[in-house]
Amino acid sequence: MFKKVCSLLLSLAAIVAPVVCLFAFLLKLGYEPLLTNSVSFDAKIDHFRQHHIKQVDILAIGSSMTVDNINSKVITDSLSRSYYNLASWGLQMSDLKNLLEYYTPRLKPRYVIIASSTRDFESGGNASIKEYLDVPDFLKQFKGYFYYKNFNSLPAIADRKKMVNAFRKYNIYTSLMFDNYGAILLSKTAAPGAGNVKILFPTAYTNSQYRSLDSLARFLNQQNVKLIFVQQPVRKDYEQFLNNPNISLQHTSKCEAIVKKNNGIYVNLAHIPEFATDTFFVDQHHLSAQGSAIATRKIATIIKPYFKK
Amino acid sequence: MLFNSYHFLYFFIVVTTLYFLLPHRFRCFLLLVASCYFYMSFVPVYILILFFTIVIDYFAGIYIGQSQGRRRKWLLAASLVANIGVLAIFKYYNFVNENITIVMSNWGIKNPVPYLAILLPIGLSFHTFQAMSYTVEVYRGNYKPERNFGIYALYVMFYPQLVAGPIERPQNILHQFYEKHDFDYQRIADGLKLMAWGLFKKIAIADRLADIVNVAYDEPHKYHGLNFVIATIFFAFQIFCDFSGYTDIALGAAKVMGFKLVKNFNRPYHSKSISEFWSRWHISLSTWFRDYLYITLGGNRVSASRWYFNLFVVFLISGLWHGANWTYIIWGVLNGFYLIFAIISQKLRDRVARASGITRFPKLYSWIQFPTTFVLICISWVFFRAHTIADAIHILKSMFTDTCADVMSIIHTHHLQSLAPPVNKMIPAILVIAILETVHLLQKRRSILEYVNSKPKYIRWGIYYAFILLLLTFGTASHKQFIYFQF
Repeated sequence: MFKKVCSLLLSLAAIVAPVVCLFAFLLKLGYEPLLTNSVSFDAKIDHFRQHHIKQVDILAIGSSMTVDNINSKVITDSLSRSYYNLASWGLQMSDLKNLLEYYTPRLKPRYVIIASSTRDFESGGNASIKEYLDVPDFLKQFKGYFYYKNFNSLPAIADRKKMVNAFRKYNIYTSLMFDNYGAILLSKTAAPGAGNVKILFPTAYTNSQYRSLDSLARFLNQQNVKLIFVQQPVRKDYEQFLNNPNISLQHTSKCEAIVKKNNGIYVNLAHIPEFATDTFFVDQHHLSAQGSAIATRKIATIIKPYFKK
Repeated sequence: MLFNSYHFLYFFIVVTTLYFLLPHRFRCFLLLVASCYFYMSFVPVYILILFFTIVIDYFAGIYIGQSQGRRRKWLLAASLVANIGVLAIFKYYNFVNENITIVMSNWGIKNPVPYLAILLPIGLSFHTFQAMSYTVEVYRGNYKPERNFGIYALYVMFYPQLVAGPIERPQNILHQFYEKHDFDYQRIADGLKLMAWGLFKKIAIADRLADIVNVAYDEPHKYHGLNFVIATIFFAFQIFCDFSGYTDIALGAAKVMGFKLVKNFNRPYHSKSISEFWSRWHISLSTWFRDYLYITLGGNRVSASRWYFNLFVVFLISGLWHGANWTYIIWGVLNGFYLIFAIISQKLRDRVARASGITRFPKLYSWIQFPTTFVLICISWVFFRAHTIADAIHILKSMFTDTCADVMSIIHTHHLQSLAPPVNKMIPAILVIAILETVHLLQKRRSILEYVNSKPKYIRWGIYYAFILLLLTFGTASHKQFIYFQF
């Protein structure tokens, strides 16, 4: 019996060992495992680790609007505080809630900036990000573990590497060329109109995303962290795409009520004159580098008094 | 706990290790506890429903065994009513109520009967049918009542086949719980290989195809013609790999511990007729219906019209067994209709075949029969997969009217952009189907396990590594639930 058990275990080891070696080799070659199903989030986690971020005073978090529209230089120059932009594409309020619950005790920020629009309230969130956050911290240190945990196919791993390499090389619309603080400045010619889509809003998820905003705002308030919620400027034609012209107004007032109820700062850039023309937009929601500087200066001016208090 | 999850992997390793470490007398207890844990990992409270049917059928079996004459009949009826009652409440109550509401609203009457906010217990139809087969077999005198409550509970709850079959008979499985199964290297290795093959079918074929199928079937009004043809063919393979993949893992997991479960699939798409298909597809359910319903109704030893009626009833109930939705009922009825039509037209078809001379070329004749059967089955799958009958009709209509135009457009324009699934998704999907069919062709003469085991060691290990590479190349990480869990 003992001999049989040993020979079974040896056979299983002979199956598993080459697989482990294969993945170790892939890791060495730079074919890293997928942490989540978001290219941008995985790249942001990489960037975050490489920059050894331990504690920040100001944490920006949100979707691509926070990545592209919050200008790091303006923030650091105007507010003179330690800062990091943890945002990544497509994050919804429920994702932000999960991320803030995870990172607030670790990074101990005093201010959290979320730059947002209706696009952050339209889908159900990304479950793979929650799954990533749920992995114990000590396992997160071993990248190889994610080959096992996520079981992505070899072509998926190869495709991801190809994609990330392209996104890191060029300032295209889907650029992952982060600055030192985790933001990306888009060039006006990145891909004009790439993000123009016809929107049906509200969606089946919108109410639950409002609840998530409420929940994250309450959480931050309990942690004595000031939430700065910025209603992003949107290009005029976006509102034409919405199925009801009043929806945008209803949305901004709903967000304002939630943020103020939880002692946060609400900054509305949705309809300011600087963004009345298309000049500073790359698409409906994303600003060019110049546009992001203007928007961020506006934000800095509004919130600066709070920092002095 | 899905078979394609790490949760199951850990569970399986722990349970199997303990199984071989424990003395024989404790093993059934271990399996019973493990099966309870397995079932409770879905919706814990539903273990009570299972417990209810187990208690009813256990005592029904004992009392049927002790009784004579009418009393036996009453006891059997009580057991069947309890089992079917559970099914009726949890699976069909809301469906029936919804249809009553529709009918009543047409007459302007409000239905006062409320809906029940209940989730369907996972695998309910499977373990209910397995429990019913026990009381019927005891009633028929084919099996002595099981006195050991734990063993009887394990018969209903044995975790490998608890939530999606195969639906076992007491004659096949109950005695195995009393037998001592030693640690047998070859048997364990074979069981693990079967599990690996089942996993490949699930994560590399079924889940991969599901991504393409769902696009077309979830929003049918966005697509047309050729997209539906591709989605339907892929669905045929998806559902086969999903269900037979589950069965292979179940058979493999049981085999590792020394249990032999019944075979549930036998290359069904290699059938030359619908009746052959039903003798190769979900065999444990088909034989259940044959033994307990079809034969009870009189089978084919009755007048022709009654025979057709029997077939119709069996397939109608088979459709209903799959789910409380009109699409399943139509699917069942359509299959019944195929069979009845096949019987009625048998003589005429034979005459046409003889007259055309095709019977002189049996291979060629088979090559006409295979695809014909496959096409008919695919048509019925449209009802099975579509969300509503209106969707199914739209899909079928579009398949029959738009496909030619789509094909011509591709031929003229030389690009595949009119197809919903992108080429980079289509090619791996076609490749995995090709792998599946290659294995099926090898299995024509003997099982794939025998085939692999007969090869020299270095070829065998070469096959194992090639298989792992295929799994790593084509496997998807979606952890999708098995389709048949919902039944």
